[in-house]
Order: sequence, then C-alpha cells, then structure tokens
Amino acid sequence: MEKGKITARQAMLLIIVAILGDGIFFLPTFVAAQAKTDAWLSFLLGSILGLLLTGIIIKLGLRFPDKTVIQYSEELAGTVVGKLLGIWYIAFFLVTTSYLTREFGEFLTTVVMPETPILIFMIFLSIAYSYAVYGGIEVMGRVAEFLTPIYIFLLIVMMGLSVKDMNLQELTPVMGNGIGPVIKGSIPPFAWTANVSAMLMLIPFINQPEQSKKASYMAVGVVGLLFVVNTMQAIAVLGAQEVARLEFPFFHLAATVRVANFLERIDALIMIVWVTGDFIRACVFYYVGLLGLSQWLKLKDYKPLVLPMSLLLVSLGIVQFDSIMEIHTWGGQGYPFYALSVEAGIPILLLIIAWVRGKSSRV
Amino acid sequence: MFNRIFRKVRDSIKYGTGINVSGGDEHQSQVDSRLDNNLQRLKGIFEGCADVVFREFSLGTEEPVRAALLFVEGLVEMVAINENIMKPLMYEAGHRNPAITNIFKLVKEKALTIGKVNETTNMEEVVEFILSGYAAIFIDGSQQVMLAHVRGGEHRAVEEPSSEVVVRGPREAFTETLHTNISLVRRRLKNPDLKVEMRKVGRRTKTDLAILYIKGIVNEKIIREVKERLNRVDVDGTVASRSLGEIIQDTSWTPFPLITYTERPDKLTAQLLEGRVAIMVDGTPIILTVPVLFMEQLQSSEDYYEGFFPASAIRLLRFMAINIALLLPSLYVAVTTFHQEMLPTPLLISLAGAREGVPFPAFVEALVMEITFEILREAGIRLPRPAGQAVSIVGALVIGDAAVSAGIVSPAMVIIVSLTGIASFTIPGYSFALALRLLRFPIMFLAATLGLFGIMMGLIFLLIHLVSLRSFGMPYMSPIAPATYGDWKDTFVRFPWWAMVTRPRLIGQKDPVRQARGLQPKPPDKDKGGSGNPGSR
Amino acid sequence: MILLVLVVFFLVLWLELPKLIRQRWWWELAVFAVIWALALVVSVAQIYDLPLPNPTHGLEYIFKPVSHWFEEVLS
Repeated sequence: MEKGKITARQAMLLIIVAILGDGIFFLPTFVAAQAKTDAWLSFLLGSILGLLLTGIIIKLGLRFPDKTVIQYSEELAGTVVGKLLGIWYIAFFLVTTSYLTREFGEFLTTVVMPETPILIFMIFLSIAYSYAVYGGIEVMGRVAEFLTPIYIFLLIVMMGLSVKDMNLQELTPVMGNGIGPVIKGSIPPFAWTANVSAMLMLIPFINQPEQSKKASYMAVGVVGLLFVVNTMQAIAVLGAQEVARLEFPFFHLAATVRVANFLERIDALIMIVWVTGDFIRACVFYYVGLLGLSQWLKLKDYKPLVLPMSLLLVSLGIVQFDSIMEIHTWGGQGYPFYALSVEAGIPILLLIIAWVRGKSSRV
Repeated sequence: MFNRIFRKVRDSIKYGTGINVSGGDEHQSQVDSRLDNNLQRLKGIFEGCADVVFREFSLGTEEPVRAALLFVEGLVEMVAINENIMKPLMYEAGHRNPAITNIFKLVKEKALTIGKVNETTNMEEVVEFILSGYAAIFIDGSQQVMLAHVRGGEHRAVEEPSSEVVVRGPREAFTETLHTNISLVRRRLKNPDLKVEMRKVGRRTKTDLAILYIKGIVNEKIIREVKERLNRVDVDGTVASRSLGEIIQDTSWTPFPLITYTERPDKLTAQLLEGRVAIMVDGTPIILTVPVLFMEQLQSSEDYYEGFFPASAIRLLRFMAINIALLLPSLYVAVTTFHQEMLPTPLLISLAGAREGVPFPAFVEALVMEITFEILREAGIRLPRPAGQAVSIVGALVIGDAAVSAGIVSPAMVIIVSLTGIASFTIPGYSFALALRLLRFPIMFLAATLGLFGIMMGLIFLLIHLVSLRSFGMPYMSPIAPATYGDWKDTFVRFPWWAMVTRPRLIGQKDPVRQARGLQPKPPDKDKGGSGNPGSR
Repeated sequence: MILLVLVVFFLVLWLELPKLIRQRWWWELAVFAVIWALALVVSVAQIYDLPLPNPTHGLEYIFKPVSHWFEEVLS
C-alpha cells in the first residue's frame, strides 16, 4: 500500500509542525482563560505530560516496528475491540482534519482577507493536502524537510522581534491561585503534544525505526520549548486578560511589532507561518486518518479515497460549526478530552494489553 | 469484439524495419559467392540512391579476379579509398605470396592498407555498414565481404560553445559527430574505467548512440535503469537528443527538465566523475546526462573556474534571480491589488501616482507586458543575429517607452517586467529557465485572485510537485529534501575545491571519496623547512 | 452553487473511477462510492439548509460532562 520510507528526521519535522500548526496560534487563549498569568506553567506541565506519553507511544510502536496501530490493535485486543479502537483512532484524525480545514479558512477570513468567502480557502487547503497525501509519505516527508526549518526560523524571528515589548511584571504572581488552574490549563497543551501519537502510524515507514524514539522526544521537546516561550511572551507583551480574550493572540503579538519604522506590518509573515503550519498539520492528520481507514477496511490502496474523503471533510467542516466562537468553545473545553481519549487512551490501553499478553512482533 | 478489431488495426499499421534485404527468407540474407548475384541484389536495394558508388574492377593478380567496391560518397575519406584500397588491390596484389592460395585472405593480409577491417557474410550487415561510412569489398568466388573503415568526409570542426558560455574555461564544444565527441571526453579522461557502450536506435535512421560512464563510480542501479529505458525505445527515428530524452525520462507531466543537456566536454567530464551517465546521440552536439537534480540547474561551469568566494556569491545571486524571475510580477500584482498597507507610505504614494491613469487592473497590465516580453524574446532568438538585436532594442526601448508615455502601462510595470526577464536570463539551465518563465503565469493568476495567499498556495503546489519528481530514481530536490547535508558544500555555495572530498552522495555513493583530505594550502612547515603542502599528490 | 458542487463531484468521479474499474478493485470501489455519496449528501443538504446530524454535537454530548467534572474536581 505505502511503499515509501522516510527518515526519522523527516518524521520529527512532520510531528513538530503537526503539533505547532494551529496550536501556537490559539492555544494560549484557552490556557490563559484557565490559568491566567500561569499559562506558561500550564504549557510546561502539558509538555512534560506529553513527553511521558511519548515514552508510552514509542514503547508500543517499537514493539511492532513493522506494523501500524490499526494492524496490531486487532492482534492485541481481539477482532471486535481491536476494530472499535481502530475506528475510534481513525475518526479522530479525520474529524480533526475537518476542523483544521475550517479553522484555516476562519483565520484567513478574519485577519487577512475578510472579503473572500471562507470556502475558497478551505478548498485550496484541501487540494493542497490531497495532492501531498496522494504523493505518499515520501513526498510529505520531503515537504516537511523543506518547509519546517523555514517555519521554525520565521517563528523565532517573530518572537525575537517582540522581545523588546515584553514586560515581565505581567507574569506575576506565580501560582497566585494555587496549582488547580495550572493543571486545568495544562489539558489543552497536553492534548496537542499528544498528537505525537500519529507516530503509531508512521513508525513502520521510518527507515530506521529505532531512531523514532529520539525523533519523537526531540519533536515534543522542541514544541514544548516553543510553546512555553511563546506563551510567556504573549502574556508579557499583551497581558493575561488580553490573551484570554483574543482569538489569535500570536497574530496580535506579531501585529504589535514595530521595527525601525519600515517593518510595520509583518502580517504577511504571519500568513506564511499559518498557511505552512496548518498545511503540514492537515497533511499529517489526513494521511494518518486515510491510511488508517484503508488498512482498517483492508483496501489495497488508500489513494482512491483521497479525493472523495477530502470533499466529505470540507463539507463537514462547513456543517459542524456555525461560527469561530463555537470552534473556540469546543476547542477549549470538550475537544482536548476527546483528543486525549484517543491519543493517550488507546496507546496506554494497548500497551497494557501487550504487556499482559506478552505480545510483540520483534524477534 | 472491439478489442479484436483494435488489435487488427494495430497489427496492420505495424511498421517494418526499414531495410528489407532478405525478403523473408533466411538463406537469402547470406552473401552469395557469385559477385554478379551480389551486385544485382545490392543494386536492387540501393535503387535510386545516387550517392552509393559501385566500382567494379579486377584484382591485379596473375589471373585477374573480378571484385567490386561499394561505399557512400560523402561519408568516406576519398584519399583512403584511392590510396589504401584501390591502389594496392589493383597493382600490388600481384606480388603473390605462394603460401597464400585463398584470394580473400591474400587481399586482407597482404594488400589492404586499412587499420580497421571487419568481415561478414551477412547481407543486412553489409548494407548497414555501408550506410554508416564503411567501404565494402566483394571478391568473386568468396562468400565473405570485407568492410574497411574509411569513415570521414565533411563535418563541422570543434568550435566554441554557443549556449553555455563561460568567461574562463575551455572553449571547446561538442560537434555533431559522435566519434569526435567521444574522443573529446576520452582526451580528458585517460582511464580504462571510462566505458563507452555503443548501440543503435531508430528503426529507420539507425542512429548511433553511445552510453558513457565511469565504472567503479557510477551507481549500478542507474546504469541498469538507463539501459532498460533505452531498450524500451522503439521509434522510427531520432534526430535530436531531446526527442530521445522525452521518451526515457521519468515523467513528461512536468515543466522541469529531468535530463540535463550540455555541449561542454569539460562539464560532461566533471559530471561523469561525479558518477553520472551520459548518452550521446550521433548528429547532435547536445549530450544528455542523467540523473539530474534541481539545484544543478542553477550551477554553471563558470562556478568552478572562478575563486570560491566570487563563485559562491554568484550562486547566491542566482537564487535571488530565480525568485525574481518566478515571483516578482506576482508579488507586484498581489501587493498593489490586495495588500497596499504592506508597503511603506512613500513607496505606496509613488506607486499609486505611477499607476494613475492606467486603464487596466494590475493583473491585466502585468499579463500583457509579460506576454509582450516573451514574444520579443522569441523573435530575438528566431531572427538572424543582427536583426534579432534590432528587434530586442526596438521592442524593449521603443515599445516600452511608448506604452508608458501613452499611459497604457505604468513605468513601475516596465521595471518589473524587464527585471523579471533579465533575471530569468541568469539561469544557466536553459530548459529550466523556460519552465520558470512558464510557471510565472499561473502564479500571477493566483496572485491576482487571492493575493499573497494565492502566491503561497502556488508555491506549496510547486513544492509538492518538485519533491515528488524523480530523475532516474534520484529524488529531484535532493540534497535539500531529502536532505543530505554533506552535499550542501556544492549546492547553495561552492566550497573550495579541497573541501569537496566526497562525491554527491546519492549519485556517487559507490566510491564516495574523490580526493585526499587536507589539501588546503598551508604555510610551509617551519621545522622541516619544506615549501610544499603536505597533502598534495 | 449547486451546479458548481456537482461539477466538482463528477470531476472526482471522472478522475478516480476509470482506474478503479480497470484494476477491478470492487471493494475499493464500494468504499469510494459510499464516501463520495456521503459527501454529496452532506454538501447538497448544506446548500439547501436541510437539517443534518452533527458529529461534533455527539462528541460534545460525551465530553462536555467530562470537562465539567474535571473543572469541579480542580476548582
């Protein structure tokens, strides 16, 4: 079905953007609403939880280095439960792709081109990820290898530009309301870093599967660092109240930048970052979902499904929400738990079964 | 039902081999021992070919034996025919050595003063050799035919390259003759590992083809792939290397060249040393090399004839140039149509002032000007050289200036278009520059409809397309994606030559090290008082 | 609008169907058809403002309580 192989580094770059993609833009909003000035601590906690989960995912994945999670879940949990777990996993990735498509359009119509209908942006994104997914994992790996370094470079440049506007007073008091809000706030970042569970589908396509361990830890580590720094900065520049209120705090953070009178509007850079990030994130999610689905249905190839499924996802993306506010409510409250039930629940469950039954495809 | 009809039609239009000698019978393709029979058959085959010369004569032996000489006028060296074939056969064959009774053997061993002589008894082979510049000698009573290599005649001398010009560096270019071209490479690579495999392609043209590679460096998989694809070629004829390239390249659905073409022996030698395979086609000075990578299209052989600082700077300049050639008009359209706020106010005011009174939207303006420019460029190439320059000058100066003063286009647009055009001329790969110029238009369209977002999406599509391309199995975008950082020494910049210890990894992985380490110049060693550098060979 | 949607849908059909039939992948064709039809139903219903089951509401129904419970525990 998929004959291509990627390197561990390409997988790492894919995962980094698959987490950062939209997370860096509006996760701070959800978190600041709960944890106020301690939002960065929540991100720290969330990333640490993410690293722990990475350990579990890699343990499970490397037990079956030549199979995807869809293939070994039946072997571990029996046909019925295995199939159920499989579709639960697949549905999450496909539904999230549909959210991403919608979100992509919402951002662009909100801040860049308000006159253009949202459907145009959604269709363009879906053509782009369909094209990449049609090319297979190798193409996606190479796209990530090309774009991710540029992406991270631009992120760092934009963070660097707003350093001088920081006011560290905004970050106090530290843990003024005890640890409760910090833990509450750490759920969305944890749910996002848990996207590393896409590795469960990618490990068999990495040419040296053992290296996926280091790659995954690196990916989550880099993401955690960028998350924490970005949130600290957003709060220090804009203030916790403002961050919790804004839809896309990172955009406003960058919009405040003024360098030497001529670099006033760096919206274009923001748009590049957003488009690249969301595109690669959608690629990963769509690929994982679609490949999973075709393995779940025992199809010979996933490629015939690429186009009709993207049509379905675009139309679902329109149907599912009425406004951006609704996306935010769902994204901040229910969605992280849904995500964790898949991304943390399934690997933990499968790993326990594998331990108990002593199964492994390793010789 | 339909299938059967289709198959019938297809079978009926299958074409023949071009030369029909045997008439279907196996025995008939053998050379007869009677000269008259042979000549009659050959006259039948070459009926209406005025350039084929039949010369009948008698061998100057004690009892005369009839013989005949066949060759194509213009393909052979007449001096050799007269001095080395006719003269010895008619006069000197008389000094008969009593030990040799066989006349055929006598002629071959004692009379013919030609270095390379083949023998055959097959009539088809005889015809083929005659047509490729050999002289065939028939002797009455012998079933064998001598084929004397007297190839020569008129062709172009080795001249300066016309499409890949360098300031410093060798001035030789390939010519139309295959053997001259091979010798140009062989002179630079005095190594038995340089293999030259000959084959023929084209049912009717029987074009000679040579595959060149260096054994021990070349990746065996690539050479096998090249041979397989050449075996698959079943065409009537091939006149230019490009038409062959289009059949053997990985996919046609791309504007980018997946095979490079060069006319410089020095460049070809360097490519062979990196582990590439060259395909030479007789009759064209343009040599195909595979596999090719995206980044190579931006490298000129000039880069290696210049110091590494200037060469690297020029390479970086070319990167700017391709970005300008691909994106500048689109950026202009996008910014003036959708994102005016991105420009600093003074610039915006002057741009708006320049665009005042222009009746068209920026996109139409850009499209019209870009197409005009392309027409001028094409006209300049097709016309004879002096007229071509006149057209460019008239077009660029007069039309541009008139259009601006008539208020049809804005002066800014003229600047943009000429900058784009000039930038596209800095790209060394000619077909690659064409591809970029072509892609400029769809991106311009996206920019006009969706602004910067459109450009961004266009670039993403382009990137996905590029990374999914392969050239003879090698990923086209390597060494960027998939990244092999070791090869970056000769990608964006050019490292000094002593730092390029290894060959490009994916292509030359069989023998990765190409020179000794530590060749960089150093001050003389004080203790020993020596003067040379220790690593030099 | 509806015309445009139909054009897109039949374009997809035209791109993928011949390959599937040529290779005789009947099971793949069945899955393809189901997804294609589902997508068509959803988009046509969307255009004519017909009521549609919303998967997100289902998920909300399950996970909102979890979220509330979690907040109460930590408050």
